[in-house]
Amino acid sequence: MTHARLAALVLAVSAASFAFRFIPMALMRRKIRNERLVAFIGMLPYSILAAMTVPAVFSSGGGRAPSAAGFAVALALALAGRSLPTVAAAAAATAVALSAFLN
Amino acid sequence: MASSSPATRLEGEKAAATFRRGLVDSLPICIGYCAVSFTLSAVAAAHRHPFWSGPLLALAQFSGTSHGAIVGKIDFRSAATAGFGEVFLLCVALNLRYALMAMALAQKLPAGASLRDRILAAMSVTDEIVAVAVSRPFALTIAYVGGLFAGSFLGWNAGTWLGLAGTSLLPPRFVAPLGIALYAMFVAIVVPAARASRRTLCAVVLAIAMNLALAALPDAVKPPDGVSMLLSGVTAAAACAFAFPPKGAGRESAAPDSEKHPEPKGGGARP
Repeated sequence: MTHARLAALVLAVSAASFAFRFIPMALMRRKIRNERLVAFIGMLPYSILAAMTVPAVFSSGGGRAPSAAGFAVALALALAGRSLPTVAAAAAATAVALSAFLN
Repeated sequence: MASSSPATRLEGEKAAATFRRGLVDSLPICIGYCAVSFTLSAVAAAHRHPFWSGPLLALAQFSGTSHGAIVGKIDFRSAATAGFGEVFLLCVALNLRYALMAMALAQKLPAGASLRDRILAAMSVTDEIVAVAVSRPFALTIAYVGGLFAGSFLGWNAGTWLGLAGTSLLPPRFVAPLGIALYAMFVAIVVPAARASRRTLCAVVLAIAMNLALAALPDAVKPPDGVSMLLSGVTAAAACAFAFPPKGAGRESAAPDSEKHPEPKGGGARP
């Protein structure tokens, strides 16, 4: 990966991202009728985000123990219905504090 | 935040006032986005991304998950970093949901919305903005959506720049653990959706199990990380879409919608 390829990737992703938002907005006024397709598209972001998270999260927080602790805090707060910024900030604070303590 | 707007119609209100109303309602999103994009800049710095990539990403594409995928998956320190095609496909798969969200938002817009209005509305599509917009008790106007967009977009871009400045001041020892915020953001998006729908929970668990199984393969046959994630996510969602029966013969019933509603909420109606 070179910087030029990164720039091309950013532009390609931007174009794709806008197309996904704009095409339905411009063209499709009706709902998709196929329930399995609706269910599939609806679940897709969550299943992909889940796969992106586990196991990568365990090496994300500057070491295994701080990462695991941060992940546990994030799960607990998300289950308790806390908001996105709260969950993100608490997990990061946990990982930073624990890795500072362990080092 | 829902309490600030009484259930009134906005037809008599001037566009500028409606825009301001959107701007005020966007404040929690603005703050939340600012925090998340700050940490994404920290991840980008840790992965040795050039200084321009974060601001360019934030300006050109308003999507936290693909911004996160790009800075998370591409690591200039490592020769074995994810490649162009892998990350592009991952972002495409992550962005698919915006098509559904755009449809949800489109159905709340005035019927005669112009092309310019639809372009602005399309640019505004994120989990959080659509969640706030479709939950408003009044008919949406483009001025209101524009207000939501302006505040949120400002927060996201400001956070990206602040993160660049912040990470150049903080020692790497403090910056590295911030990378977990990205995954915590994913947790905060996935957990409410998985709680609201058993089918989604099943897809989430299956995707994680598949991804762990693929990660355990010997290096010689192991697909690249990004491919494993995509494969696991797409297969799990497809399997659960087919394994669970469609919600009865009564197509007009609220069943498909009851599966869909958790999504906007999942994004965080209270960011």
